[in-house]
Amino acid sequence: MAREGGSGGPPGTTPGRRPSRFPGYDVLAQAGAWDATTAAVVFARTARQPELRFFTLAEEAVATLLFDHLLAQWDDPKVPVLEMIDARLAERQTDGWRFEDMPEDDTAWRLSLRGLDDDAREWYDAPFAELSPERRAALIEAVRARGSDRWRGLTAGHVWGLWTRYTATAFYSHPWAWNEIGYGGPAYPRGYMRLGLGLREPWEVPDTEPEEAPPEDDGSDDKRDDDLPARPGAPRTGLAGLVRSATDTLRQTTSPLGRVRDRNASAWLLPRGDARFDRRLVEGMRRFDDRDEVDLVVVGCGAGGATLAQRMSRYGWSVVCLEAGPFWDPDSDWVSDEAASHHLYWNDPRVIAGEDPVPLGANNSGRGVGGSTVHFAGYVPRFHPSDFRTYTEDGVGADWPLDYADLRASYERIEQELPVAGQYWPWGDPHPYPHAPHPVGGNGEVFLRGAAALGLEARVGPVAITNGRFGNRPHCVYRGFCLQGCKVNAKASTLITHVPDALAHGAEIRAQCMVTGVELDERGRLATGVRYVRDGRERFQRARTVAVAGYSIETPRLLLNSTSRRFPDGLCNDHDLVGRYVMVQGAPQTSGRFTQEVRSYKAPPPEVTSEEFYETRSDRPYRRGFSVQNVSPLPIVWAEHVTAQGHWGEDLRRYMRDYVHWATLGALCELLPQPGNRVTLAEEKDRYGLPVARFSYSQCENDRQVIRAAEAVMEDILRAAGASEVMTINRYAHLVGGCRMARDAAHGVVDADLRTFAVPNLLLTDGSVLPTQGSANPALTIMALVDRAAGRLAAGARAGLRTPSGDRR
Amino acid sequence: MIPRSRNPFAPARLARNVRHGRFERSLSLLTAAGSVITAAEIYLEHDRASFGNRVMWWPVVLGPVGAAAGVAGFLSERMARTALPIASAAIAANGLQGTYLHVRGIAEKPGGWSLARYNIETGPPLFAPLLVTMVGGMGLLAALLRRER
Ligand SMILES: Cc1cc2nc3c(=O)[nH]c(=O)nc-3n(C[C@H](O)[C@H](O)[C@H](O)COP(=O)(O)OP(=O)(O)OC[C@H]3O[C@@H](n4cnc5c(N)ncnc54)[C@H](O)[C@@H]3O)c2cc1C
Ligand code: SF4
Repeated sequence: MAREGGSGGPPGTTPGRRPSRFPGYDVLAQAGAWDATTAAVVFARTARQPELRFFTLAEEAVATLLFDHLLAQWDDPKVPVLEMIDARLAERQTDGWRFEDMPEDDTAWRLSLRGLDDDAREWYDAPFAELSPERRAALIEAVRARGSDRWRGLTAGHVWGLWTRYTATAFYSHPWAWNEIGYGGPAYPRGYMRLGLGLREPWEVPDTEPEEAPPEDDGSDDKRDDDLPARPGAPRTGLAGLVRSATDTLRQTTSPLGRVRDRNASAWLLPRGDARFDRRLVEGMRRFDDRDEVDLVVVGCGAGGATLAQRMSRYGWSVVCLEAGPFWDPDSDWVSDEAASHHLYWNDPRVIAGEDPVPLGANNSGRGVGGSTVHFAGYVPRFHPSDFRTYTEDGVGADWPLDYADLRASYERIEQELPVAGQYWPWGDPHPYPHAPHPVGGNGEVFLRGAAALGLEARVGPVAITNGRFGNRPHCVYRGFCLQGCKVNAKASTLITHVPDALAHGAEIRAQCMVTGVELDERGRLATGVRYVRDGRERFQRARTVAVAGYSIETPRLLLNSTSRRFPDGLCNDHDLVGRYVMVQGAPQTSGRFTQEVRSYKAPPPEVTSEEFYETRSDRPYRRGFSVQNVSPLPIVWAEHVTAQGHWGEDLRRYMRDYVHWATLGALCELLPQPGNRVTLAEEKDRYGLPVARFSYSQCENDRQVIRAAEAVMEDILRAAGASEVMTINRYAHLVGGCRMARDAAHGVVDADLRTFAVPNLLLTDGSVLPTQGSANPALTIMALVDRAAGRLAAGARAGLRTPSGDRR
Repeated sequence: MIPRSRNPFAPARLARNVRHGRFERSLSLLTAAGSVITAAEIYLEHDRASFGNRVMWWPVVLGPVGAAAGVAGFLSERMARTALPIASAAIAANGLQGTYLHVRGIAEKPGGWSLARYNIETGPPLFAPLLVTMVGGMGLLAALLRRER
């Protein structure tokens, strides 16, 4: 069966032609201001849908009704959710990861649909499709209510997650649904200009029911007795502080840009005008032969890998960087759309386990030149000096084999190259930023307002987003799609901040090459190169030095998959440390409802931060702390927030219609490194025939306390800003660790120069080396560590060695 | 009959001076004030845009230069004929350069002129640099005037 969505329907069509709270609003009328690639994916949703390919007849009968119930879609025209999900499953556009107690998504769909039908027969002696709507709803609700219990051989909560994730993604990717919730839709090349509470673009339509109170809560959001922790030492201000911040900032804005350009000319190698990447750089790229013994082969072209490739090619090394994913062309490969950005993520199979399993893919791993920085949010705070010695200071975590002072110069260099915009930073080691703070949107305004009411310090920044011209990169247009890849070149990703300069200095970035093993010489002492698969054929690239930068899951997996006589348990795994101490940050998100329109989709999602609660404090029962930032979920992620509260059907639709009134804060909680939180190899193999990664994660008591405290603070901030209702969901953010650095081989896999203890010409240059994670987003620190390591590597080479210079430290 | 006064800036005398094209000194002073005020505003606006192109410092630096030349022109006739027109010409030219750069900036925003309204409203202010040229023009004009009596 194929359903016709019409050619967009009449202007302002809403699902079921319901009267709209935004009368006359028609997002498709704005299509003239969208780029062609994005317009194509959006209009495909309103066009005729392909025939079903995945669901069987029996499954279709259950699925159709299940979807109608979950989304309360009863009247025509309907968003063709069934066809959209069917196409996704037929084309295997799944997220890749699965819970250990669940089969892969396609099988899980089949089993759960059959389970629902079986329930119907068991309870009411009739197939699901023949039940009354009330009975069907009761069966669906029964699955939801089971929570973490088993149901039909599956975990009910995970089935519920599967159902709501797929249905909400399909429904809220449709322009008719956008009309219903007043969402602005794609925003490139035209971005937004009226940012802030209660402000609308000339073409946006005001909500006619701004006061509509959402239905009563089921009590899930009970008041906490936790009061706001007493205010820590306020950041130093005073006259001296003011003068210092002013002069430091002035020094940044007056220092000649030529100095940055002499170090890294990437921003000047991008085209001016409407193209985002100079294809001639790729076409004219130097190409090495597999048999050439290059000075350095880098595995992975993300935050760490691209930075290393750029630095070492500048130092005159011959460099090949092998990247599993594609070489992106932002103009044609990226869209200004949530659902159609799926190809940016690492979607190969992975298994997640443990008491608190961490979903992967979209939320934490990218694939392609630029790595995860292509769709990272762009918050780039530094770590605090205390992060480097949490064990000594707080008795938890681990001490780093280097100090903050060792990284300061690298931090400054990378901040100038990204470049970072923000207010003068009062926390940790106070410092200025090269670009001015951005104006904030409604969401940021709520945060600043709430923080001010509570007497908390919150500041605008620090974000790797141009606020003004930088080389040939233009100013941000406040389009809010940072997590879908910035089509403007305003948000930094290493694709535009380091790759162009690497190419100009003779590096080869070889895309679509999946590295499957690191090879050693016969005695197992030195690395000789890497095996990789390209176009289905295995190849071998020779190299004098190897650097692995595949991030916290893939780097340990590659080492564990690289066994030899010398390393039977995986490369560099003599002390059973590879894959251990993987960390994620607890990232609860709290949303608050405001009568004024927030329209948080305008402006970049990263805007404002507070690091008031970053460090251990004597008045709290837990060690270490958290930071608070604002995040601005687009409709699909917002639907996840709502469904996570247990809302579905009409309830879900009602909350979603209220979308423009909600502001969202997110915390980053420092969760402690634990040996049991680790990556191992599963039985299952991927398309290259390699065992996939299994990532097991469980929180400890300290972790839970920090997360609770962060939730309480965010709820207080939102209420202080005037929120009438708040809701919190629990999530995770970022990955680090897995091959941590340490002073010696008994405690870590690499040293402070990122060189492995076991193989002198093998380096790990990515997020996997972090021993602790602080409450800061990790990318800047990863890049700074690599900047430092590159300098050490080059200095060592000049001295005639092929490993970093000087003594290990 | 207008009462005579020794002060060339007494209202009545001033008005007569102006009517006879004798207001070099007052216009010099106005040029000085205009330079400082525009430079201050430009500093704030350009700081907001992070001095992303370091030429954005030029109009800020030219502000005090124009101010000094204006005050010098107020105090000394010789200065009013030398330093003032030189500084003013630089300011006027810088305003034209700024207009060119702002136009280019708008053109290079995503969508360029095809999104003219959005890009003009959100891009570098299109007409602002011409106000700088006006200040420079005032200084040039002052240099051509007759001095107050
Ligand atoms: C949605 C999202 C938001 C984020 N927000 C922020 C933020 O605001 N601030 C921040 O600091 N950080 C943020 N992060 C995290 C940040 O992007 C990562 O920490 C950082 O990019 C990690 O750098 P990396 O070099 O270790 O790995 P990556 O950048 O992930 O690069 C790894 C690369 O290696 C490739 N690769 C892996 N295995 C192989 C192999 N075997 N062969 C060849 N290639 C391989 C991958 O395809 C990938 O391109 C965010 C991440 C996501 C996903
Ligand atoms: S940085 Fe973010 S908000 Fe700014 S233009 Fe890029 S995607 Fe849009």
